[in-house]
Amino acid sequence: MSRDKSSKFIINKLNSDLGDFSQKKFNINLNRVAFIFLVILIFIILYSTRVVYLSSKTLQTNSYKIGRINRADITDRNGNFISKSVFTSNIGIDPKLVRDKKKLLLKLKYTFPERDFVEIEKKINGKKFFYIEKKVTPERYYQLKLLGEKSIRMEQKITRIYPDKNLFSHVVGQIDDDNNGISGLEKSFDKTLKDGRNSLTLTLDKELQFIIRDELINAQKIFKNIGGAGILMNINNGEILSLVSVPDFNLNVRKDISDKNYINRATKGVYELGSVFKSFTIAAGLNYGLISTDDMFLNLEKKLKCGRRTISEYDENLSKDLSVEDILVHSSNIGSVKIGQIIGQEKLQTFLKKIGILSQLDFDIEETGKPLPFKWRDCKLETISYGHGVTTTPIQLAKGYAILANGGYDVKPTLIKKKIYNSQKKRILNRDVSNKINRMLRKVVTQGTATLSDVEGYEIGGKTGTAQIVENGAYTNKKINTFASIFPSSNPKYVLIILLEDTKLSKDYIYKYRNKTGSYKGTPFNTAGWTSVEITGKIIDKIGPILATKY
Amino acid sequence: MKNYIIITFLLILIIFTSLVKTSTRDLEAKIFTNEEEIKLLSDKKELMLLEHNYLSSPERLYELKNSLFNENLIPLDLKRFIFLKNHE
Repeated sequence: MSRDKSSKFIINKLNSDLGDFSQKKFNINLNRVAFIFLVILIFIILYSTRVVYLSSKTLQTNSYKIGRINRADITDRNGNFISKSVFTSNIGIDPKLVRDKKKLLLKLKYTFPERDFVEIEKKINGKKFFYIEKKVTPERYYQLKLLGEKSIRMEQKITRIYPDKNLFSHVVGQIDDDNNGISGLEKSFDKTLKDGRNSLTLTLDKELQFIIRDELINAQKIFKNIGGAGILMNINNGEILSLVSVPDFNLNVRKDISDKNYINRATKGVYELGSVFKSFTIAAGLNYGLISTDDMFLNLEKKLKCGRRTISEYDENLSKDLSVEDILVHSSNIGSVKIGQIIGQEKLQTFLKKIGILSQLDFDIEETGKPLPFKWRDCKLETISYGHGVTTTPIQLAKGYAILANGGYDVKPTLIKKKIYNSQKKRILNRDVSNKINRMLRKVVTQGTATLSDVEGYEIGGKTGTAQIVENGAYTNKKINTFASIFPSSNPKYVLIILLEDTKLSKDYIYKYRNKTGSYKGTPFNTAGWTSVEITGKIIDKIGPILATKY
Repeated sequence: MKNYIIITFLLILIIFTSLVKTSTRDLEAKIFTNEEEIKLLSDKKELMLLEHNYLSSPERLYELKNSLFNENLIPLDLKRFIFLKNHE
């Protein structure tokens, strides 16, 4: 029994000894595993943190877009650049950084062989930074970069380029050195252009603009006029296809244009335009139902006393008996006065306001003229009836004639191309009146004062206007000759205004008759019929085929 | 045990997302490079167009005409125009 007990004890002890040993061994193994797991966990955490960090990091790359040009381009309606911003480089030298002056001079002489190095040498010996050349070509820029001179400093600047130089000067305007528009569209669309996202597309056509400008410059050679203006506009949507004023200036040469002769005559010039207003008087009379085209005015005087003024006919051989149509076709002053008197001041004033002749035009450029204010008293109704004593701008005249010719709808002249134009048009004139006016304007060209512009195939209609220039409050012998034309008169699409300021008679110019054979040497009269009309004919000769095929 | 599984699952998800994001960085870099190349080419194209505009401007063509031949250009007569319908 005791032996049993002792053997049991031994076995139990052995078991307990063995148990302690395996427990110990197990504890050692567990500690090792935990340690290894901890190490792995640390690695995983470190790796995960790195991966999370890397993935959360944004892509750091130098974008080409950084520092890109921040002024949008301006293009014509066909995508041709009118103004474009490009990077140019100015190269200068900082004399403080020059180590070997002789070596630098030698290198510069090699790169700029044409430069005066006496002056450059003086400047290098000084302390002030100076420009060696501005707006260098890319080739020269890289040549200089390869010199590896620390003292040569290269500055990149944004330059506005106008590839057509003078062609769009009055429309586009200029910017200053700080990229701010200071005139024309550059000023009025400054914010949009600085936004830089999309280029500004204009309604102008480069080819048409060139032809009209070219003919206006030719006119200056023939008639020695101090300036001129031309506007070609679509009468239905107000898109201006060409807007020219001469003299103009090269936009690439930044100059302060303070000479008044350089004003934009097409939009800023305020003129008394003369007989072109007769169309408005007759349109008002027809629209109010106060006259009809066949109404006859009998025994018309050749001179009319109105207060202190004497109103007389320009052509003394004009018949005494004239119909309303004859009054317009032969440009009768007295006949227009009589029509004006029938209409009355209130109605004529309302009509002129409606077509936008008397107030300043809301236009895409800020350079717009404000018609001179006046009071409707004394002889105002009579003088305004034939276009005297009232002023407006050529662009407003274009708008007025567009309304007369397009069926009587209001139209807003614009230089900015739009995808959709307002389809809800405001009617100002009856269609019937518009049709009658178009027929009469056509007769002015076929039988009246504008026969020199009767270009075959284009059915040109229009009205001439010859007015005296007012200087220091008094009329002078100087003339403003205007021709407002519409074509084709059977279904008008375009209005073309040609204004020539202070024309002179030409002795040598040869006029070729349009509707008969033969020619005439020398300008017989300083009137629109012999100046602006002739230029209009020459312009339509050239732009007609473009308009007929392109638009 | 349940908590361990969730934690492990979340950890795997984080690592997997991070790995995917890291691998797309290459793609992003490629896209960026291509975009930059497009910008450079479009700028080049615009400069070429500018040059073309200048070289083919009416003023320059007239200058060339005057220097190369003295004949005056004659405007086309509208009567000689034939309007084709449907390219007939």
